[in-house]
Amino acid sequence: MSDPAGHDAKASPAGADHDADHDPDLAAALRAVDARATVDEVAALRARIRRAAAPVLAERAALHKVPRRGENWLDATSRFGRWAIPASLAASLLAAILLQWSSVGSSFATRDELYAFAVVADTSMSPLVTEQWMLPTSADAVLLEPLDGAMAAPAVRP
Amino acid sequence: MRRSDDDAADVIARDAALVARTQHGDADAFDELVSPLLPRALVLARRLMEHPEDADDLVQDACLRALERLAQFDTGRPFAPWFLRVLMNLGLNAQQARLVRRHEAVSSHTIDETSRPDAQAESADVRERFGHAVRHLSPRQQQIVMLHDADGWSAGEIGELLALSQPTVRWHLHEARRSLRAELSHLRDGVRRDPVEET
Repeated sequence: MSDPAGHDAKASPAGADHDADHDPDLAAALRAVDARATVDEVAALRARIRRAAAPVLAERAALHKVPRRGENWLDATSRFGRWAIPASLAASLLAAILLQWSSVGSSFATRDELYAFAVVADTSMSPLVTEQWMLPTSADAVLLEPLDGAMAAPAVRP
Repeated sequence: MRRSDDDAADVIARDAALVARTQHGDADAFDELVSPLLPRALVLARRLMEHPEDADDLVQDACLRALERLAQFDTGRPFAPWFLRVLMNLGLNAQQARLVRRHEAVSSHTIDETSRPDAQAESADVRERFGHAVRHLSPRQQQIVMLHDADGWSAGEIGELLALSQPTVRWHLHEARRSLRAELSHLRDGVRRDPVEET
């Protein structure tokens, strides 16, 4: 392997190819003038590179992070909650408005007391009828009751 | 032969696994991938750049560039030559951009004389003057003769690294050696003659 100075005769799988022109003296002189690195310098550089690469590696780790089962549930719930809470509030508000509107409408269309009042007020009907109260007994029948309080037979609602 | 083929296949498989882990953001895998190459990369960078600080920057830039372009790396081949090619291309581009011509030796404090007996054999004066001669070669010849004679690379590998044909590499190598051998011979003759001339 390489020496601390970085010279590495086995650096290549093949090593130096057969070379008739090779001069050991020249090679030794070249190694003597070569710039070398001490073990401490290499260690300092290694630490520096680790620090410089850390943000890039952290970013990659975050991209490739596989969530655990518990985290999956928690993440999904928290993501769901971001829109589910306002949506449910809005739905509640809408439901309240609709209910309110619905009860106001029904007070004119379906309430039996008012229907009975309309029949009694109709002057085209028989005087017999106008002399009686019409009271609701069920959804499709009314009770005709004389004004003096005597009970009459139920009549089918028109 | 079979053993070396197996070794090469192991290196390729190991590199491919480390590259895959690095692409998923594994910092340890990235460190394992590039740190064995740093001594060699630093030597190459110091040959290319005028100042040691620039050489450090070049190696760091090469590591980050390699990381950035890791998707382009062919995992069927070893990582080292590809990485060193990235470094070499960046260094040659930086040389061209700055029109840097090295006139001074990379600072002498990086030369650890005690670790190399062959360095001790050369006198400081001869070494300095020979280093001057090496730096006066063209950048390409300098790289080729250093890679071949100092590092033991083959002409084919140098050609692949520098995008040159093998005959071109051999021609540059021949020219560089001829020039340096003449200079070395001249310097050694001068050193041998000096004591005689003084008497």
